[in-house]
Amino acid sequence: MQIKSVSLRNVRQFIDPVSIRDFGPGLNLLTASNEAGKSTFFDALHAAFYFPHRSWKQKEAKQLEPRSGGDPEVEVAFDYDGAVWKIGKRWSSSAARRQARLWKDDVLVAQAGEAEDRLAEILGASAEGGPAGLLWVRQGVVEMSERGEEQDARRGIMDSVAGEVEAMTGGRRMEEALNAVRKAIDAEMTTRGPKRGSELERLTGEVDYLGKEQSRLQDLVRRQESDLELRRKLRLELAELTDPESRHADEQAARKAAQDLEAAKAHDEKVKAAGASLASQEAKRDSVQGAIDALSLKLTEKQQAEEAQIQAAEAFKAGQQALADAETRLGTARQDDAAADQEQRACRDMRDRILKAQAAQAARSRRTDLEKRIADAEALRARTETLDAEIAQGLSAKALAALEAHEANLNVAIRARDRAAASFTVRYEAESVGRIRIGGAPVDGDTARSITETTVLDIDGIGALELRPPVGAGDESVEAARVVLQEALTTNGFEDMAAARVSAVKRAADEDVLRGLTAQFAAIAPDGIDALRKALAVLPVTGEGVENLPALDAAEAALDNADVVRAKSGATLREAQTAFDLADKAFARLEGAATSAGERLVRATTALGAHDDPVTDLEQMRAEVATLEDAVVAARGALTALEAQAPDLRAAEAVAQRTASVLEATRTRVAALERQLAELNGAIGQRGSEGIEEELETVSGQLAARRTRLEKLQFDIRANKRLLKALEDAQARARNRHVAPVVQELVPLLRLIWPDADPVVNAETGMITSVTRRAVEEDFDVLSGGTREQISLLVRLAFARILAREGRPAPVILDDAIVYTDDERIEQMFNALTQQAQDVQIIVFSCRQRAFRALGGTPLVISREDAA
Amino acid sequence: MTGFTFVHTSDLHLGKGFGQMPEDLRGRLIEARHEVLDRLIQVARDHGAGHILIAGDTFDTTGPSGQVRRQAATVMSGANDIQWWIIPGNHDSLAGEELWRRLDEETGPNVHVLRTPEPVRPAPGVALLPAPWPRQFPGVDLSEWMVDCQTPEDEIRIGLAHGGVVDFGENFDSSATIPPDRDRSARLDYLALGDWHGALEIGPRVRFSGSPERDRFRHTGRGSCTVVTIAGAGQVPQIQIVETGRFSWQAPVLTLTPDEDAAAALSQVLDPDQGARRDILMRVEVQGFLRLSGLGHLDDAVVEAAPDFAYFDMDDGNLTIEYELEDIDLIAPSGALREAADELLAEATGEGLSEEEMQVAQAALNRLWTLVREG
Repeated sequence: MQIKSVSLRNVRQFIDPVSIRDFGPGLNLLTASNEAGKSTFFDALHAAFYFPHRSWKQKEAKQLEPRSGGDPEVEVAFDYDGAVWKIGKRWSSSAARRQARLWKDDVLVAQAGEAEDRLAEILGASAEGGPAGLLWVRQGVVEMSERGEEQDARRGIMDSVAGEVEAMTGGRRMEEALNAVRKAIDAEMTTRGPKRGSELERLTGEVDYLGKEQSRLQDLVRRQESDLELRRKLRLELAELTDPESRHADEQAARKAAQDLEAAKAHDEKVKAAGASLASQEAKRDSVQGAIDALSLKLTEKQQAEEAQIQAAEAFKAGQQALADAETRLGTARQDDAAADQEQRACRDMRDRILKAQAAQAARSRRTDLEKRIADAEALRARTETLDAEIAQGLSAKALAALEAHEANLNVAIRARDRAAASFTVRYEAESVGRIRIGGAPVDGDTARSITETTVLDIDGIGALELRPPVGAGDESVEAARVVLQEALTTNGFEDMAAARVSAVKRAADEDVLRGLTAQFAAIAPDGIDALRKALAVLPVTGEGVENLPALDAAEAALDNADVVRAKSGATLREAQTAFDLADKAFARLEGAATSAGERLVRATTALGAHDDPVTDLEQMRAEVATLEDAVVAARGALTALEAQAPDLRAAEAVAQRTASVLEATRTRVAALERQLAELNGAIGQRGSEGIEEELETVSGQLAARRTRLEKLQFDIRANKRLLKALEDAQARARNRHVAPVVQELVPLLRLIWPDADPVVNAETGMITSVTRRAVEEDFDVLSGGTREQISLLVRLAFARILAREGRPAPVILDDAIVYTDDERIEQMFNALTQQAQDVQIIVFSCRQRAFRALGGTPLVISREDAA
Repeated sequence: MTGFTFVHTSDLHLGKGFGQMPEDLRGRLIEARHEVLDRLIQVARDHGAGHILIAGDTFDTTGPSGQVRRQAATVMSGANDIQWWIIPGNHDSLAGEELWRRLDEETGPNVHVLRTPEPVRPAPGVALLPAPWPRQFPGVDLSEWMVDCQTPEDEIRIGLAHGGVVDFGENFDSSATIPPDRDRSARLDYLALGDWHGALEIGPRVRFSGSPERDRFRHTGRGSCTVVTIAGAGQVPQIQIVETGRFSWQAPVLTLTPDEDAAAALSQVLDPDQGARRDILMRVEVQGFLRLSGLGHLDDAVVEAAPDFAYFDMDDGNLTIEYELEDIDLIAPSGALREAADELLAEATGEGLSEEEMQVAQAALNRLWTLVREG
């Protein structure tokens, strides 16, 4: 779309027709002072495209009305799709005068609502605003609000950018679908479960309630069935219990049992009387028989007591004799044992005396030995200590070895020096007798001699020849070795090596002697002298006198013999003592028995004291017992006869008790059954009237229906949730795709102003939330007014580019949109506008005539129609 | 003896609560069941029948509410020109002692509850051989005793029994199956059967009357009773089916093809008489195939038609939705909406997902289609 011209009539201050013509394809600029009518043209253009001609009562349309009244009219001509279109609208308080007409290449193609619908199709937007709507930037509208139409429109543009067919309609359909699904879910659910007052909550509650109600009714039905079954059983039992024939038989049986019991009891009384008579006769007989038995016993006792007394007297005498014999044997044994004891003691004393004398002798020998060893040990120790002192002063083998090492070093140094020293050899003529001497001693001929020191040769007949060795040839080494050796000797206290060696030899000899002395000391006093002294101290002191005693062996043999004799006498004594003790006890016993026999006889005689003639008395009593026995036999016969005829009283009692209890139990059970049946009848009747089974059937049906509905509702909620997720996911993916081209277009524009700026765009809203400049991210809201104004304008230019590339170029119309931008930045904005105007028609209205002079572009002029 | 005419009915199921039905409909259905007693009386009077034989299940349970029982007793006793001959069935067996005891107390001498298997004589020369149910599952053929029951040769023998002659499925006690030739083995002139809620002829002398007021979609149509006239012993009875039900239960099967006009197809299976629809319970079982667009039309048609009916339900469990690309295009030819639709379509028809997940995706897609279409 490209605007060609716009004409107004009766719009605000323009009563007469005015117009702006000759809009160019790129940048167009209308600069005029305030109140010149720029904003009026801006609003009129907007109204022509977006205000329905029937919307007179809306604020936007009313604002076009001139103060003097009249119907505002606007006509806008524009190129679109290769044709020239013109939209003309008139708003009026009179419906008849409202008008909307659309021409295509000067041919009227649509009127009224149809004209506006066609226009909306051309704009690619619905009546409430479309993609092109964003490109209108009003005076002072610099914010990128997230509210209202602007956001909807921006989103619509982004949809179109993605190339969606019917992008705006589709976008709204998505929003409507999302809203509807969310609303449907929200109507039933919250994040924590069913929503209060929702159908889901209601059905869940009803299913819960009906489930419980069903259980309650099932319990009641089961109880009813159980009670009915119980009642049937109880009725059957009651019928059996109350059956007249059965009851009559029971009563008859009880009466007969009672009669039988009475008869049995009467007979039992007779049996008891006969038993008592028998017992009486038996008691009398037993009494007399008891007297017989007692008298017989007394007679027998007296006879036995008399015999026992005689036997006891004889035994007493024999015991007396045995005791006297035993006493005699005991006295003899005691004397023998005393003699043996005396002999044994004498022998033991002798042996002890011999042993004691032997011990004293051994102690004396030990003392002498110890005293000698102590003296020897002390002498050895004194000698050892002397030797130790001498050894300490002598040279050890190790020290000697060190000295000899120094001596060897010296000899090496000397040999080295001598090998390097000058020498001479005397060669005597054979016949010569003269000799050369050194210190008076002749020097051998043909033998080389080294000159290591100044040497004076005395030559017979000639005089003396003094030889000197070369100075310093090995002397220093020899001297150093000699000093070392001499210092070592001095340190050890020797003048020369010979003295040192003598000392070392003496020390070695002393050490050998010391080792010998030490071995002797160890043999004499292995534990030291103190140990010997302690052993001596504990020895007993014995006298020197010696008894004249027999040999120990003889004394011990005599003692052994005495021990044997004493053992025998002791055994004899113990036997005699035992025999005496037994005889003494036997005598005491016999003495007691004789006394007891006498007393027994007295008692037996006294017991018979009442019977003058006990034998006769006994005969009479036996005759009386025979008479009584006959009476007992007669009474027993009578009892036996009665017992043979007696009925079973216990059985009769049991039968009577059983039959009576049957009657009683029947009465009790019948009463209980009648009570229980009455209660059951009441409960069953009550439940029967309540129709619980009918109610159960109904509740079960209701529960099944509610469950089905609840399941369906839960399924619907799941389906809605699944749909919501699918929609949200798809929307998120689409938004991500849409944001990319916007950013792509925007970045080059931003960098015209800020070379390193990057926008951050909210994928959901399409808004620029912040701008990153020089690696610092700044929220859009904290940017300066000028910066925000510039960014807002650039965003719209970016959208315009996208639309243009989509083949739907839409003009960008700016009404004093750059008011906060300073002069330096405004030129950069002009560059951006000029660059974008290559693809997009940009119409700029501004009152800043001087500043906008630098923008360039097609100049626009407001002109009166009659002047055009 | 000039013949014997009676009304044969069964399975009144008085007191049935219809808990699965909407609350406002339940009352109407319950009331209709009670009113059927008056309609039976009217049929009897219209056909000169002085007897109504109920072949079991007069009541829905052995424990109906006092209100249901008393009101039934009042109606039956009030028609004192009619003799009621009732046997307990499996739903209201004699185990419900209280029910039958109280009904005895509350009804007049024209109401006869037959508790024992022994012949009674509703009229001279007519022997009625009842087979009452002592409990819900008796486990034996209760009509067997009729074979050995002796009656005079010239008497009409009518059997009155409850239970299936074949396996009827639901709550059926197969051990109590009545032999289909019981009329011959027991020399019956007519065997009046109950338990099957639809009218069914087993033979010239053996019939199920069906429920006089239907209560489920299994037995469609309106309830009816059977008017039977037996001219004399050994004569073939004359049968007349008389409609007695108020509500018509209809369960048509609607088989669709993808490009079919679903709305038109639906209208063809619905009763054209809109006035009658108020007493019609409709459950349409939809099967076959339908496109998304067709589903929308079908839903519209259901929404349009359903309010006419006492009850309307559509079971589309066997209906397969075919998702054509052009239908998906109607949701959106491209863009985010299309992406969402494609994702759901893949899930609804894809493999590897559970049946339930596929159903959820299908429902979500159908809902999206509806939302976009409504928008």
